[in-house]
Amino acid sequence: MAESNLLPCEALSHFGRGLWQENAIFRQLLGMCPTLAVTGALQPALTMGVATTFVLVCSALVVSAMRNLLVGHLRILMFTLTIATFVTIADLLLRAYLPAMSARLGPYVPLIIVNCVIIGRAEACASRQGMFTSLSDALGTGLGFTLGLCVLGAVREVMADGTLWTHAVMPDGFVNWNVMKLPAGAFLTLGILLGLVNQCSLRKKKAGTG
Amino acid sequence: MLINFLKQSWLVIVSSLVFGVLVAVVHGQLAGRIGANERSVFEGAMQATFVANARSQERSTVDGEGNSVPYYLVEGPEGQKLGYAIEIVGSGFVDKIKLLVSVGPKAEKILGIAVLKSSETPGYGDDINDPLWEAQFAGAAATEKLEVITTGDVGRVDNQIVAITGATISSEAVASIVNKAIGILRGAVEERSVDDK
Repeated sequence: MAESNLLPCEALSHFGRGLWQENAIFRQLLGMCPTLAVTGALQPALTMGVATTFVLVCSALVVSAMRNLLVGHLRILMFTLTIATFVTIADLLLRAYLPAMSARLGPYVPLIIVNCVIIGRAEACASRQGMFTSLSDALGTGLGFTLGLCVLGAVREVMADGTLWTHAVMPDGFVNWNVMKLPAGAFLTLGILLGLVNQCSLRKKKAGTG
Repeated sequence: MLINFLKQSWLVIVSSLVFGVLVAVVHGQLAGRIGANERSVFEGAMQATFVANARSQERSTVDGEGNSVPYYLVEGPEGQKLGYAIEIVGSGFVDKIKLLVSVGPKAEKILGIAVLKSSETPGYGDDINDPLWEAQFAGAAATEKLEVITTGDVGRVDNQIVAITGATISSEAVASIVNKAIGILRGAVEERSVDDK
């Protein structure tokens, strides 16, 4: 049930956790579908990350505002209703102001509704904590998700097209790795990055205890 | 019974109303911009198929099921007839596909197609947006139906469309939408030539 409001520094720890220790992509392995699908290049990856963060923040605030009214099994329905509303708004905003990106992302913007990250944070944090804590949790998770998407998108774009943000960065003789455009390349890149992240934290743990 | 139901679900009902109004307001505010964006995609496709300063007049004809369908008569700057174009929607693999299909002045040759809106699978069906694949349609005769084949020469100008590997359904969807469009345009042209006489 609803806990009393946490102190600001405790609330901000949610932000840090969402950003790194409990990073949605590299630690929790949630939201894999958009992660693998839209990270072919940096621009769509960033757009998807910002859209997801927008939905995360708005739905966290609304869910947190009504957390004392949520009863039993209806809470999942309420989460989904809230998330669907803000995803629809995000989709309309994208179609109005970034039509090229909207066409590029295609069906994946409406699919943000079923992204486990959002409903996971709503259940784990927003429905139990006050608005400031929920806000910092949502921002941290969203930023962590966006960063993960951008790293993936940057690596895949450089390997697959030799460009970064559509500007050429690789030397002329570079042969494009077409596999990076396809799902196989996405899995490969994600796997290697996951390995690197795990290696980093293992080393930190060893340095901490050794 | 009803009281019990309302006691449990009042939040769902109230928030559905509130969220519905919110989405409606946002949609109302942005519908103008979204329409303008779609319009500019259409204009861009028209200008790519015909010349840059072609003028298009909207006319109306009837399709196979008796519904009224708009199409465009396109004329050049000196008033010469450049051809006809039609915006047409059909079912694709994932969702609807909207095409702009253009034929020559006598509706005997396809001038080209442009995909205005589609949501096909990226890397597979999404390749219908590739200009090299769309170029297969340019120059094909509009007098026979287009046929989709699995292997062949993409550069050859004929009525056989080489499907995208791994995206047969998307390719066949586009071909069948184009066939439907040509049927409507040819019907419209015959109608006009009867009227002109």
